[in-house]
Amino acid sequence: MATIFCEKRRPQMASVRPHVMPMPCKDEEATGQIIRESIGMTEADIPTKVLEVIFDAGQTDDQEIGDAEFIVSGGRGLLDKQNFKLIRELADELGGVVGSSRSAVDAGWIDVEHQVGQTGKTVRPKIYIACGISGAIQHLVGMQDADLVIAINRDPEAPIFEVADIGIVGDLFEIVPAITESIRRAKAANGHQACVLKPVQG
Amino acid sequence: MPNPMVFALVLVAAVVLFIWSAVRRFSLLRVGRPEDRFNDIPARIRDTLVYAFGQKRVVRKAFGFNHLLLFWSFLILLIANGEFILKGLNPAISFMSLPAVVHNPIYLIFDLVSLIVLLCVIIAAIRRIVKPPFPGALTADAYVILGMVAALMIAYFNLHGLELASGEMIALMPISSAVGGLFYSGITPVAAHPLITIWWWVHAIVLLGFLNYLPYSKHMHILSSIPNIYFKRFDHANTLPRETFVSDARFGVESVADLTWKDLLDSFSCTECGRCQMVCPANLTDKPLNPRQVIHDIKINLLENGPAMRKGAEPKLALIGGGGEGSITEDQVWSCTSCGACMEVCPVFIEQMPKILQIRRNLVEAKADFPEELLNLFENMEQRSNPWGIAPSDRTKWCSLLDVKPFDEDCEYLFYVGCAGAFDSRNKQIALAMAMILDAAGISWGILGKEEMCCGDSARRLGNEYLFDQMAQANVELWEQKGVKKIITMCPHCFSTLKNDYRQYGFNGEVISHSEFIAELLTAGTLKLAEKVDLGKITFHDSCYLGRHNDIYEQPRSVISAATGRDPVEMKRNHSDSFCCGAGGGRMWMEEQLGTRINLERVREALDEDPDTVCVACPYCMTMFEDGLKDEHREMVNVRDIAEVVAMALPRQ
Ligand SMILES: Cc1cc2nc3c(=O)[nH]c(=O)nc-3n(C[C@H](O)[C@H](O)[C@H](O)COP(=O)(O)OP(=O)(O)OC[C@H]3O[C@@H](n4cnc5c(N)ncnc54)[C@H](O)[C@@H]3O)c2cc1C
Ligand code: SF4
Ligand code: SF4
Repeated sequence: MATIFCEKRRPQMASVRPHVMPMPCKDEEATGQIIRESIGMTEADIPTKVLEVIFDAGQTDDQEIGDAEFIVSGGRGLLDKQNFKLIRELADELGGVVGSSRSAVDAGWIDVEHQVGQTGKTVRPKIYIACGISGAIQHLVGMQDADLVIAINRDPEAPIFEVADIGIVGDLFEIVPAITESIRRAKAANGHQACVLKPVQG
Repeated sequence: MPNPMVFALVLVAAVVLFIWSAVRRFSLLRVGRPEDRFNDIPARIRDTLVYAFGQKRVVRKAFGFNHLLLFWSFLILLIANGEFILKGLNPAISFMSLPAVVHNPIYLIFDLVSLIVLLCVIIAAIRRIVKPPFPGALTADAYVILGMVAALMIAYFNLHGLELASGEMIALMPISSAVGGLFYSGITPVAAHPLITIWWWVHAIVLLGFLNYLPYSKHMHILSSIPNIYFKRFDHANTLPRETFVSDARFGVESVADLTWKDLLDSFSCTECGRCQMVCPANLTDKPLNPRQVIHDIKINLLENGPAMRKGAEPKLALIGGGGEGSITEDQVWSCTSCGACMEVCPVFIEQMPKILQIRRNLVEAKADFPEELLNLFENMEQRSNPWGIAPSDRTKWCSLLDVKPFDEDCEYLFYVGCAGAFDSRNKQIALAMAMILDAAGISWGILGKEEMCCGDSARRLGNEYLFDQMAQANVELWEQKGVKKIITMCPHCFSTLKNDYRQYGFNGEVISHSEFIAELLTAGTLKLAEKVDLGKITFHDSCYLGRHNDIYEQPRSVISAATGRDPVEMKRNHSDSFCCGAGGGRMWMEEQLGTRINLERVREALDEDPDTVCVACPYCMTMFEDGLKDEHREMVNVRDIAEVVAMALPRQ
């Protein structure tokens, strides 16, 4: 954390964390001058050397959930590690990645890298599909800024529906495979083109 | 008997050496910063009598009686040893010169007390092997001291046994007589004399050796713990002092020089009894924090760095660092839930928790070094005045279907909802229950709505004092502007912060927890309940910020009893012994990566009582219990706040 005071003085300085704001459209009208400073530093001046970049072996996704445009998340409602397969299949069809609630991480069903929420990652995907996640505030703060939230939960009172744009009340074990299947069919019909998810109403 | 001249020389040498050691050690306290602990002398004397001489906290554990006996026996034997020394300097000085009616009882008492001491040290030595107070209690230091005390008593019995058996002394000393009868029966005075001299010297050397060993061992507490109790805090150590934000200021505690002299005296007073570590939730769930170790490390660090620091040198051994003896690791510092259990049990009133939180201040404010989850938290609190970073305009969503009055001059009470009550869907239910209760009792109340700001509790416990300072000032200013005089809270963290911490910011209004308020309404008859709610078997969990930090134990229980017609059953650890849920001290916002989960430990303890409902009086405890019960696959056990229980019992409109 850095607290920088430049109340009365210039220059001002600002930086933002990734994903806290939506990417604005490019404003051609905006004026201002960008000065690119060349600092004249060569690699030889940096004492730290990057020898090799090693990716976490446990992570099968190519993308980190922090940068993903589509996230399919599973929670305790999945009941078992095996069932994450359903989530992964849907994510694969969408070209997205798998996220999870903390409960699923705690249960050992999925790696902590996938945890969304207060003590996990803050995500801002185009579409976030929450399956079997109740929507505890600790989870909501990590995903509520998604452009479109789809929630699948059999409990109509679950707080996840308060932030969901599309809510599906029902059994995820029926609904998730059905969505996956319909995407597959749509893709087949469209000749394997990139799929655009059509809102599914429950 | 010894040669008085020789003894005088030995005595002077020993006493000079002892004074030198003690002064050298105690002068290290001057490395610390000043702190005023000199007020209210009568109350200090009273507490010293109760807790030092009465050993009130020591005997809270059954084995403490052994210590109580030893303590008082030592005080009595102080007189016996006074006589011993004076007699060594001048053989004419002795209680024997008093009439028999006086000296007989005196010697009888000395004799019996010496036996008690011998038995007590034997029991203590065995206990350390059979059932040590904490793992690692089997130290050489402990045995050196126990051995010395035992040797002293054995020398005492032999010395007097010989004197009695040879007829050199006639007194009512049954134990010494028995020793004399057993080993020295019929000995002549001439034969006894050299033996008496030998035992006399054994006694003298062990006594003076003991004296000189003290300052270098954990038994330094014999010298320091009575002053430590005298200088103890009267209030609960639930607040930290304010800081001033000027250039060149030092923030928090980085080295022993940033602690106060009393903090350093604390470190000299630790008896290494291990009671704090045996109640510490962090320690009991295998996290690296051990409050006894923290105090010990401060002492070792002071001994290591103190002498040079007094001459103006920089410390060589870092206080926060690698975690070898004399240094404390960051993982230890961040593991504390600020539950206060350690301070509650310490027999000599050491204040462990504030020292840990002061180190956090240094890490956060001077080094910007803290667990990464906190970056979000601090930003959210700073920019949106709530820990989750939710839009402040959402603060009134919980009551959008109710007709809640905004606070104005006509309201008697401000209901300070707090962030959990305003934003967390589960805890909004408590806020709703409170609204129903306040209306049913006809209270004149209002809320600040969108203007309400976070109290800053977590920022303060996490060491971000700069942020807390801003938040506290902003809140106090707002309340003054609005004319707030009485505040009701539903979160013990808001409660304790508003009630205790905000005093430092000039807020003098009345702050009342919902536990106290509802209990009062029920006792006064202002709040009438229609029916008894059946929630099955209920157990109640004391939250640290209500109980230990603010002494509120009975009110929530009485509320439950009134609403359900049944007293809650107690968990194994309850009231001031209650075990933290794991969320305090800002731990609510951090991942619990080390050791096992604190909330699971507590949930299992609750489940031992086989309850249908767990009652809580804190939104953090609510989250911790609900999550923990799900993890234990016991979702059928309900968690209810006391306000919800009462709301269920209200007459239907
Ligand atoms: C310090 C701390 C930090 C935390 N940080 C995070 C965090 O970063 N991220 C996070 O997610 N949580 C976090 N939590 C945990 C949080 O409090 C919740 O416990 C957690 O989010 C709940 O996860 P869940 O929704 O998967 O499980 P649950 O709350 O148990 O919800 C399971 C849901 O699945 C539904 N369901 C069950 N079966 C089916 C079915 N067949 N079909 C459809 N729906 C079904 C149920 O109705 C229920 O709503 C944190 C907690 C603490 C104390
Ligand atoms: S306050 Fe609680 S968690 Fe912190 S050291 Fe003391 S007992 Fe342990
Ligand atoms: S700090 Fe107090 S409770 Fe802990 S070991 Fe030392 S004397 Fe005992």
